[in-house]
Amino acid sequence: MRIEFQPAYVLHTRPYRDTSLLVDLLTPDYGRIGAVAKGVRRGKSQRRPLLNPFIAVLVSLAGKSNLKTLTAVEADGPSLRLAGLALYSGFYVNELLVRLLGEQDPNPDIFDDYRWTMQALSALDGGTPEPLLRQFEWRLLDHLGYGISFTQEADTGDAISPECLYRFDPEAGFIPTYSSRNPIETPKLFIGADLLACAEADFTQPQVLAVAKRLSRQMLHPLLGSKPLKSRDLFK
Amino acid sequence: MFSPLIDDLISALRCLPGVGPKSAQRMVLHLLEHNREGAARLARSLDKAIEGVGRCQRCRTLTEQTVCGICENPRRDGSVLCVVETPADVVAIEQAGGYQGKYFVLLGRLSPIDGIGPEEIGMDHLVNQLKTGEVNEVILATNPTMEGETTAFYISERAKELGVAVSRIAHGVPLGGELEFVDGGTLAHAFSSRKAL
Repeated sequence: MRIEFQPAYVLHTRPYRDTSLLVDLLTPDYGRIGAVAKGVRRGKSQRRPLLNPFIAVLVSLAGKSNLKTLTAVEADGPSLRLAGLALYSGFYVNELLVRLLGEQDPNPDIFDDYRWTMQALSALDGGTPEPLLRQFEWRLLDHLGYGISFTQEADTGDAISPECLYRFDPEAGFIPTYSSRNPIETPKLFIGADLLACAEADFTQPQVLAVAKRLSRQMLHPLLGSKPLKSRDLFK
Repeated sequence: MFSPLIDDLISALRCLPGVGPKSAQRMVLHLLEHNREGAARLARSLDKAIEGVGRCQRCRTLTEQTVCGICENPRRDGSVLCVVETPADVVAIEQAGGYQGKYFVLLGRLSPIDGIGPEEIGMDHLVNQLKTGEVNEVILATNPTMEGETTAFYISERAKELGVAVSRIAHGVPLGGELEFVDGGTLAHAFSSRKAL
């Protein structure tokens, strides 16, 4: 199989043999795909600088096995620079994809979301990356078939009401609970208004971001299992 | 094809980088046929090095002393600390000359997907050194890869919290190179961090 000039982002690289590199790529038409970049770690390789995460590239791949050989790579558009927190966020997103995506399972929507998120992260300029991360996580879960409605109740399909309290079940969604207790005392519950704000991606109120983070963790937990994401350590 | 001892030696040599079955076989035959004395010496030095060489207590580079030669040298400036990824980077900077401060070797770089976080690169150790107040400036000489940049940013945040000045080595167009052949990322970086003359 020959793949010519496929848009791609490098998710991860690992040294291979003396001068080569194993690259984990995200592409629209082939999903996550692994390739060997031969000889790129030699002194003056023109290709090495492009084989870094967060850089939009066009790649050409060849080979019959699952692991392809990288035959060409060139820049796709001007280079974006992630810095500071955006850089941590980029690695977080990459780790998430490496953990959650199977190999060669094409999904152009994930690629588009990824590209959009990287561009938004590079334009962040010191702001908080959290809204971008939450939106990426939710859309990713949606594309993978684990999406959850923030506007409808789990079993009945009734609209989420802003005043109501909800319990979250990662497999079903939001189930109304008629607990009269204060949500501060019952930290596992969610207020409808916060969920609706999440659905609208309206993070202007600080507590919505905290709710969104808690929600994301709970949604991702069954998929990640007992091994936590290492990139979370960076944000500490 | 060979007797067990020889086969064993051939497969042992293959742990070296760049040594495949063919070159391992050539090395073994050479040692056994022509240079047994050299082979004995190699065996002894290997044994001694494995036994003796550990990490420098201060900078974590490879050494058989508790504190390495550079850290111990009183003529080197202890107020400047250069942070690098590997002992090979120390050698490269030493060979380039001109740097008179001391080093800290991370023995890696932050790479969450590989399971390498702040703890694995010895951040506690580095932070403790910065807390002693001996260091006035940290020079970040991690590789200009995304992982290296992340590592540099992480360390810079910690150092700033402790009130230590931080600088990053410059990246740009290689000396004696031609602009036309420099990749876009490097060129963009060279422009954004240009220097007034």
